[in-house]
Amino acid sequence: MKKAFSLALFVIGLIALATLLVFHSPSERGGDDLALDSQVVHEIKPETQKQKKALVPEQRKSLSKKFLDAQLPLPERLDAWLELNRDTRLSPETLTEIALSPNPYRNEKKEPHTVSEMNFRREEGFRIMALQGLEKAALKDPALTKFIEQVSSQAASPTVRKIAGKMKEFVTQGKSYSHLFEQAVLNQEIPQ
Amino acid sequence: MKGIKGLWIFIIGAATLIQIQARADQERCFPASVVEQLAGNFSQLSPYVDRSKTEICESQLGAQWATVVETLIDLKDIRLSDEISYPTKDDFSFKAIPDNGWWQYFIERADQFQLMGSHCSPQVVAYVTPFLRGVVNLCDAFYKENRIARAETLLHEVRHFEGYGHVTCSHGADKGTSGACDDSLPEKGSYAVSMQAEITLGLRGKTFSEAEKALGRAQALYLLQNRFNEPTDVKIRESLYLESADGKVYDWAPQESQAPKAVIRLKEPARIYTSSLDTIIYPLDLNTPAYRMSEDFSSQATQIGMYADAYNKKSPTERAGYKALGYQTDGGILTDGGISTLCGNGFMDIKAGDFAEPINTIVTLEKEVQNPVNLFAGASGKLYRLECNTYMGVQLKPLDSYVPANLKRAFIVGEKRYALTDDGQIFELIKNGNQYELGQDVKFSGINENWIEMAVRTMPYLFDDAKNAQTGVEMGEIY
Repeated sequence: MKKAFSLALFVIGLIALATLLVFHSPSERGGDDLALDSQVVHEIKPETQKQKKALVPEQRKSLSKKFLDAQLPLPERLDAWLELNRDTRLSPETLTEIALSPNPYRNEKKEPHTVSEMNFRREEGFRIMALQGLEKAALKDPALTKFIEQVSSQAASPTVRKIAGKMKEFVTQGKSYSHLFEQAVLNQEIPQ
Repeated sequence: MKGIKGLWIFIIGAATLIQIQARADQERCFPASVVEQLAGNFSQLSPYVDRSKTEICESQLGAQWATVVETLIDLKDIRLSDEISYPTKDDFSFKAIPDNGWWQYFIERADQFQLMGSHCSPQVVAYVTPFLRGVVNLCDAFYKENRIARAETLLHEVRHFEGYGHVTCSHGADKGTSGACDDSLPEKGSYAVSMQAEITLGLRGKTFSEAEKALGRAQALYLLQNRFNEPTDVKIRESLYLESADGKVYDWAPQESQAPKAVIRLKEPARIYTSSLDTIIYPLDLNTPAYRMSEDFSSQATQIGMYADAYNKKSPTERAGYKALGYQTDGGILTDGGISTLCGNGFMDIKAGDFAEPINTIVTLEKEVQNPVNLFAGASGKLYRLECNTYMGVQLKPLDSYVPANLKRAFIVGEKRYALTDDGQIFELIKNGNQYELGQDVKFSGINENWIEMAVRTMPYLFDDAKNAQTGVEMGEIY
């Protein structure tokens, strides 16, 4: 009887293990990965293909908190940003809150080419991302320019304030400061 | 009891196996052929080349080399994205960043890595020393950075080999910090390279997440505002595209007092219009569909816009009825049958029979809050403006302004206005009260003056003076 019980447990365990291994196997990775010549063999999830969905205010708040949490690993924070952007009702208020928030590394000494400088720059980047979200929204609906104006006068970061000022100037002309900046950079020759 | 013990052993064993399997899933692997290619530039990778394998993984390379290889592949793989490849001649590839531009830039400057440089401290990310050209010293922090930041760091560092150093910041977030800024953007030092790398990877990188790319682009804006002592910002260069009867397109900026510069020969003569930085081309051959080209004509857009989409759905007979298009918000499609414009949730029409007089063309003579305004010119020369109202629909309102009746196109460039007449001549257009009158005709020596098209072009620029923001260094052709 004992032997039969042990055998049964062994078989159940074996099935469980096999099941777990199958669901964890590399065959779950994107099938196209290996076909990509000279490309890292990674799973690349096309985020843009994911469905938009409506978030409740609490979810939005929690994601925006996660996005701004400098203690979290970068991928988690970037995932939070993607989730926020999938929100069908991403409010300008949420983006404004992010853009206004202070940089957690603002009081640290930032020696060039150091981790603290990179950290500071990255946090500024997060706030600029939110500001760019507002810029995009304001180009579709000029009434939302008021949020950029708010950032230009109230953001904790002087850099974010300055960029918001520029964006406002361009948005009122129906132009995207970010887009023109990117195109201007791309149109230049790289040093050879 | 014995059975339960066996089960526990089994569960622990299974959990261990799953962990190993999960780790194997997370391990970074690279095509063996690519590692071999990289070893051609960085001989330190030669020991890892193994032709009997299809992949070389992190377990063989070690975590640090795997990170370096991953970053090198990112640099090697910067490619144009979201564009249909359009056959263009190589000599037309004046694009600032050709497919392998950054890779070439990097391998011409670096050939060796110190995986943990001798001057590393916990704060330092990477460094180079001028007397050891070609060697990039990496520190622990480098391996913890995200992929775009790592690529940007490598490109930034190798620029120092050419003697580009940093200076004390005179303004911005690091005002007073020594060695945190470059003098100016036009000198194209390490921070100019950083900024350009963040934008290039942030727009064209194919192996990064959308969020990582957005962060890269946002950080480039930060660099623009804080890393250059000489204030630098986005500027706009306005010019006109002029097209000759054989489909050759010239760029002419009247304010620069220079002759028009040939930028492209279209595969066939066409109507050309500009929208944002793109050019939308409606071939005169009515059997050929409209298409949309990037700002330098180097690639064809996948999305051609609603106007061109609508045009391509028409039969050649219907296409023959097209008179002009206006790409400003108050523009539209002018055909023999009337005007079709975007208003409310879609297209709205005014039938030609409802016009007070036949409408000949669309002109852009004024700006409102810096925005060009499209106006419709009647056969008598009277101007009309299209108004879109959610409740009333679209209406063509007459204005008390007049242009010469023989205008084909007219645009405002800077403070001046220029017109292309029906007979292919270009004139300055002078505003005199409520009349716009033909002023001096514009002639260019050595250039065929039978113009068939004119379009206004707005080009942003940063690094150099305006004349370098001109499209094209050498003229190419679209086939």
